[in-house]
Amino acid sequence: MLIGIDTGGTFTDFVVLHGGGVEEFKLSTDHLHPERVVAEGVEQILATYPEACETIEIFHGTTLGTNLLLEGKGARTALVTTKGFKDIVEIGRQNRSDLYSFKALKPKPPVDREHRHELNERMLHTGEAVIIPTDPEIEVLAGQLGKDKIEAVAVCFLNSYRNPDNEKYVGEVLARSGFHVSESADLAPVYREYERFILAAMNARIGPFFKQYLEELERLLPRMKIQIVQSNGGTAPIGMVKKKPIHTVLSGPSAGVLAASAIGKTIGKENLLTFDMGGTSTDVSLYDRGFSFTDGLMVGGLPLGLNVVNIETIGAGGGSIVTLNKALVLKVGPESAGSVPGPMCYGCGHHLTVTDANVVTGRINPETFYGGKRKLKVEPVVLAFRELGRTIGRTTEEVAEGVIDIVNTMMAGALKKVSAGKGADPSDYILLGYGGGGGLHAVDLASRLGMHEVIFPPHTSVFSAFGLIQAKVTRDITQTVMLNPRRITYEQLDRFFGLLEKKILKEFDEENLVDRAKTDIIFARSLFIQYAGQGYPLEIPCDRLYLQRFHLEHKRLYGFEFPDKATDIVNLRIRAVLGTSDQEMSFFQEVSSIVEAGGLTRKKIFLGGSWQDVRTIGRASLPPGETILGPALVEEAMTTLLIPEGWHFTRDRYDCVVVTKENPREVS
Amino acid sequence: MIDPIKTEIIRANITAVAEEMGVILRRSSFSTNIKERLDFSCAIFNRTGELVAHAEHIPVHIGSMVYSMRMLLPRMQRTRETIIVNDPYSGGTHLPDITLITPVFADDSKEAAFYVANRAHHADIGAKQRGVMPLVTSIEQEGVLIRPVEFTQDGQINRKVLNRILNNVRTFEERLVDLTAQVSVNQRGVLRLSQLISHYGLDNLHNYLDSLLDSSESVIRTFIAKLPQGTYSFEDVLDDDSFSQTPIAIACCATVEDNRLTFDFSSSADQVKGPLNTVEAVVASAVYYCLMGVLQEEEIPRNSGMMRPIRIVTRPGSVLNPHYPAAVGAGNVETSQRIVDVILGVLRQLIPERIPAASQGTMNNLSFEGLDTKRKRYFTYYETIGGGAGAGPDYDGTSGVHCHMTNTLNTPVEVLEHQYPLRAIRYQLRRGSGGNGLHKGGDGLIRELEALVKLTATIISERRVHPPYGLDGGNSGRVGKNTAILKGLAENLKSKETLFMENGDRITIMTPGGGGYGKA
Repeated sequence: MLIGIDTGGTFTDFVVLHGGGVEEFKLSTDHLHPERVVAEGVEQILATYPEACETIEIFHGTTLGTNLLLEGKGARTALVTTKGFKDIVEIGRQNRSDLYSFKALKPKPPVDREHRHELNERMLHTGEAVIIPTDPEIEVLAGQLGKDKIEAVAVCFLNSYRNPDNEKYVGEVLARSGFHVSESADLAPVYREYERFILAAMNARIGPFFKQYLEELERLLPRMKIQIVQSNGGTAPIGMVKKKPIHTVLSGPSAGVLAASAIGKTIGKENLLTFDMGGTSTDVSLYDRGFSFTDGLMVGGLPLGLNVVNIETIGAGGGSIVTLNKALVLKVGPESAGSVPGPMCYGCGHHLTVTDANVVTGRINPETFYGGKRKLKVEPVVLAFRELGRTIGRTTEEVAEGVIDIVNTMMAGALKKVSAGKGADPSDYILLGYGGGGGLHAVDLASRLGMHEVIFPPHTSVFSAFGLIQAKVTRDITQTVMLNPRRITYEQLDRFFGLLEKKILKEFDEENLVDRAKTDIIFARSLFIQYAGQGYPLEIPCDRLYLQRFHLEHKRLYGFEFPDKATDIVNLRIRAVLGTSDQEMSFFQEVSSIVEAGGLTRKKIFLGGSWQDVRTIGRASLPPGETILGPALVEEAMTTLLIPEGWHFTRDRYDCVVVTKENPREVS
Repeated sequence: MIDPIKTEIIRANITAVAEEMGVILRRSSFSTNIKERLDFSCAIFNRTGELVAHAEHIPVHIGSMVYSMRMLLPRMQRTRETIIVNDPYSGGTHLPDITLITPVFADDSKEAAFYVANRAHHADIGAKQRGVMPLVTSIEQEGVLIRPVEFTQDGQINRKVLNRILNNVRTFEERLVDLTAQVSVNQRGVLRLSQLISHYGLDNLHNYLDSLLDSSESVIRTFIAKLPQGTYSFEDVLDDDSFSQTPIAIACCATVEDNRLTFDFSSSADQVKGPLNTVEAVVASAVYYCLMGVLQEEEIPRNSGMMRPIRIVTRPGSVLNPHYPAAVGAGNVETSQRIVDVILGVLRQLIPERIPAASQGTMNNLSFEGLDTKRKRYFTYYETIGGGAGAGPDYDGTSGVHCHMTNTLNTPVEVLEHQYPLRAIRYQLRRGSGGNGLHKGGDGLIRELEALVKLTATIISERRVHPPYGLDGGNSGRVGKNTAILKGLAENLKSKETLFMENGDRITIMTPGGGGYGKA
């Protein structure tokens, strides 16, 4: 039995794959104890399938790390570095983030001035240690850190990418003194000190919290195999994540893109803009016949310095709070009501939210919301919108629709940024809408962006959790080596990679991941090559023809090559993917032509400034292949799809609801 | 009808072309200046030479490219090839900045539809004395002078022109790659623009881009209309020109009149012997930068439409409009910063709430060259060092950052040590150097480097005598300081100096702090 669990800001989503069947449900996220909700969901599943206990594999996505970093929280962290260089993390690259702002702002460093310490230590770029740190000095430092009540320490020395001995030595001493230690070269043995130091400091900041969270999870779910999804689109077992939690920064959102990739391949449509609207935030990304990866992700203005799936996140979702500022202008978010107290219609909260606006305008059915498990209170919401309307001279419904308009504008902006902002015309793409709120907002966004097609995949409301169970254990290491291909044979390169492979195998063994009988590990080797003197190497697959491939790729990308010029091999990268044969299954099953009973009914919703009569139908009752005209609402247990006038839709054999613009030519 | 969504898509598309050009240049070049410090710019001009898009790079380049293009447009209209230029007196800024412009033609039309351009700061341009920006008295001594000339023949690099450049520099292999990259970058720009032309149609594309230029112009006209009419002036000084210790006056007088804004720099000092002179293109870029900064809140589209109601006046024979062959090597990097200080000094009298105290006011240009005996090659290396930013009406100044006319990245210590015979000893904040005040100025930096072989070092810096001003009762920032340890003896250095270093000698640059704002 495979269980995907995606902890979001508002809900924790569960998807269960068992004996060919798929089940899904949601629980409210508990911000103080997110692990308890995870355990509660698993207990519910076990109550139904007690016999499955022995075979459970859990795939978990969590935003714990991201939230700690974005909110500036985390452990009390210190940074220990080479004498003369304790300000590297504050100086940054000396540049300001906005060229034309006189404020010349730089991101706040992850460690304050008073907690940055220097040691007499120096490593050269050749790997020669000219100054080795001494025990008495480290002990004095450890004493100071203890006095400062420091919990986590980032050990960051110059040129450690070349020789990590000094970092390791100091790291071991501090770890014995009880600190959570992050060594920069252990996380990413690549050159450029600022980016590497920041990475280590961020890992240190979230380390202790993450460790505690995972230990609690292990205690609550004994004997179950738990894997955590990472930002590279693969998973890692708990033991590895405890040491390097920074790899989970995009854990949740990258699962959504994984699922998008799988459905895109299944239905043969791989030009997608993904739109995942949750309760607290919305994630968008461009998927064009493959993931786009980036080494340039910024988290709270700081470079992450890891290879991750390229995703844009904005603070707008169903729970985003509506406010009226002094100038009587309506604002939505970025604060969220979460699941507790939740939107006003839940009956506990005092803040109006996007979800409340969807209730007042009739888009959300208060009787069937959340699978009918949560009866919504509509009256106080209507009163609150009426009050708000009086203040700004609008009717109750007009204000509510205005709120939807504002949040849609914000989300369209994020979609524009990942598409048009990169020179890709959104009208060449299909919008893939999912997450709890995706269904109500996606088609309007497509209209705004001049797009012609929207697809709501199966399991729309928990689609990211569905992506989780398709992830495989993945580990990548990038190592700066600075080799000259003229002085090194292919066999020597092979040995270097052999060492990295051994390192990964050892990590896998420590986690008991490798069952030699039925586990395949697929290693992919690549080289980062540049002409001697350049600064941005190209990633080239490593085989005997690598140099020829490099010249060709350089010519393709930049328009010129110098086949006689000397080259450098800057980095080696190895990516190991662990695949077991039983994971090679098709996750999307064809729907049968027998549909649930229940035909079209009619309902009034407020749309485009007036109450309109629209068709409503349950998703499971849609006969596959039949086309229906908008305006319409398609209701399912955990979400609702809104198809406005001018669009029609059909349900395909994989249970995708495909929405198409009528007369698309009129658009441009 | 101009559709706002389409306009946004076209704006983003054309900006993406400039950005792609920038990415290629950065990723394929050799000069540390280009690849690590991003000291380059890429831009796209329309048929009349107005700037329609640029990748967000270095302000000192962008504004001056607009001016250069205006000067070069008649020359560009006579060619179908890529033109190369670095002559400051015919469209360049200073010799290390080499600019390549290529016309873009739609189908077989005779008139160019667009021009794509890139300008990059080369680490070596063959100065007659050692140093990237040597302390000399005429442009001939500053390096190879390239007057506008066809650099390609049927799109292929013209070997004759290329060899004339390569034969006159010290590090020709680096120059070969960087110039090849620059040509290639423009070719990519041409390709992408041709694709946009065939996708949207030339007339359609021009219409949308014209509307963006108009909207930029209307934003600044609305802004000027709100300013109080009249004439306002402000003056500051440069420390010296390296040949005498006399301060050099830089003055600005602004007039607001009938929806127009005039910046007159005529009462600045006469041209000087040393390389602190600068051409009018650089003055124009300082004006462009300051207006962009002031108009942040207006979210003005970034193109040259905003320069239409702006007039710039300089006096021929002055330090800001010198006669040929005055040396201009450091004008671009140092004088430009003081021009910003005086423009902001004037604008403060018009819109005080948007103007900060003076920032470090220098780029602290440090360069090294010599024979690298370990790597067996001759090397040149150049860097600029950040300092304190000025505090504002409601914020403290940022520490250790590049201000105003530059935003180049530092060279990481690990890259520096891997590629050059230099070792970093210290790179930290210069605590307490920011001016005190209700809001504190940002702190400067301390950078100490050790020579590992015999080499020549040149420092060109400012604000070593006259500090960055504070505002509203805030203190000025501390002046910068340059020192060296040569053969074990400590020495104070001047603001601009060339010195010969042996293995083990050290140089330390302490950069100025920013001015404070308001009484402490």
